[in-house]
Amino acid sequence: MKQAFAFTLGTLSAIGGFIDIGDLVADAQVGARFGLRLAWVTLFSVAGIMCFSEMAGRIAIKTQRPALALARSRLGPRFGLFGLIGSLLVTGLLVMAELAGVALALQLATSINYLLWVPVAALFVLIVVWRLPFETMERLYGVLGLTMLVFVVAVFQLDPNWPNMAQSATTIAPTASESWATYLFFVVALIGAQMTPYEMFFFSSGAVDHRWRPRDLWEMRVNVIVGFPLGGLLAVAIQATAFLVLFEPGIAVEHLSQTALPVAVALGKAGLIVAIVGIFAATFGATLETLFSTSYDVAQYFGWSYGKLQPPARASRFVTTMLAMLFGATALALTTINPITVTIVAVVCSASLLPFLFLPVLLVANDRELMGEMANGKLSNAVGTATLVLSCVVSTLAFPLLILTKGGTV
Amino acid sequence: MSRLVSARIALLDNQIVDCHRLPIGRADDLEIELGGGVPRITALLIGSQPLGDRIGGHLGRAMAAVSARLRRGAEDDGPPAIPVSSIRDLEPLIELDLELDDLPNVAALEQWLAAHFVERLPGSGDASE
Repeated sequence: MKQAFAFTLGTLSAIGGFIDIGDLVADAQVGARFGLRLAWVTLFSVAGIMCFSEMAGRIAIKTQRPALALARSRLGPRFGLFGLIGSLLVTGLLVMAELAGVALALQLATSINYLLWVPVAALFVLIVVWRLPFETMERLYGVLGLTMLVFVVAVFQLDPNWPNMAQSATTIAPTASESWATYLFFVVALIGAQMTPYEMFFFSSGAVDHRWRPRDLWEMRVNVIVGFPLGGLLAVAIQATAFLVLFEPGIAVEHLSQTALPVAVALGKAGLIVAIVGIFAATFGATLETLFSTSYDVAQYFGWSYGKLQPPARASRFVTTMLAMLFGATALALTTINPITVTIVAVVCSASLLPFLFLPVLLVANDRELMGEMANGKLSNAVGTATLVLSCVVSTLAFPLLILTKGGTV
Repeated sequence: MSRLVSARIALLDNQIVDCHRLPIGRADDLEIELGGGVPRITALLIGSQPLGDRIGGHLGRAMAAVSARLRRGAEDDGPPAIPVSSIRDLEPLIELDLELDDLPNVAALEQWLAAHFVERLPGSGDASE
């Protein structure tokens, strides 16, 4: 039972973290405009996030402390506060976007405007956070999230011209009607959507909560090795379905329904229902992850009691932080601000923040005094450093490209 | 405890837990006694006031001021201090031989929020069951 349970931590991280509202929007947009010409970004993102999640998990196992908590110990309270405020702003925006995503999935299923669903979705989240034990929560959304595999089935059902697909996937250049700036902007957006730091922190906090010990090292690694590539596969499948259905007619993705549209074309009503369940599970899981992750970050920085394993009265500051975040996200969603725009801005901000959150993890994982024999090996350091360097480039380009391309709309 | 440790690495900013490993806070600052020739670390200071003072700048000063303001009216003056004599272990976390409940001034906001907000919410008793 423990095996299956441990496994679902990885799947939840993968489905809820990797495939969240950011991916559902960015992957579909990219597929509709560039085909598979940005599929290589997903390969890079998966490798990078696997490397850093493994490091964060290893740090948590060895030190019994989550990765971000150690950043403050090793790099001082100022750097820690900077990282905390940055990730609070970005992940806070994402909580709102994910919550709106849940409401949009419910709109797809019922045709009732998503704004009416936002408070209902927030209430669902509240009940789940409040009443459902961690394990049940993880299993439920891990399993429901697997319905996202319908996107993979849809690719085969659409009977693609495989040489065409391969040619698109191996071309690293914008399509004729698009500029290089827009192409690069979507590189940044995809990286921001796929390498979200909250996945890493959620994963390492979960490892501490589960009391993983050095003997669980390989269990943790199996989660990383299975979970994130599965998320990557789903991301490419969403790009591919959008390519096959939306690219030729030139349909722009401006709503979540257009992400699901190709599945409906391929598999009819039944497929659409499964896709909506998947989108619901993915955004719901991500709402929980972002909400927990932001509250974990705050609690760990100040050394508060936290976690799903404590009775609420023992962790009242943690619980209050989480409820305040949920309330704020609901209020922001109800301002009728466009959730797709918020998502794009959030993933770009997230991309620009990456090096500041990767650097402390890489430094701590290399600290032999702290990590002993579990310090980074050559492979982790090579992939980690490469990812860090590339994330610095991405971080520098993120805002100029956001402004230059007006959020990819040019 | 005759072992030599670095205050910067082993104490400052590290997580403090009680004898049941419940989180108490972080060692936000250290109290040092200068009398008697050799300076000695006498206590771990906890809370946003010492932390804010250390961070400095507008943000740090604001943090310290809010924290000091929130505590006003409590019996004692100054931020919660834990004497170093109650430290049982330093690795991997700073473990005390005290119970959290024996430290009335520590985590006052936690207790206030528990009593006035969280425990009043329906179903707050057994969410982990």
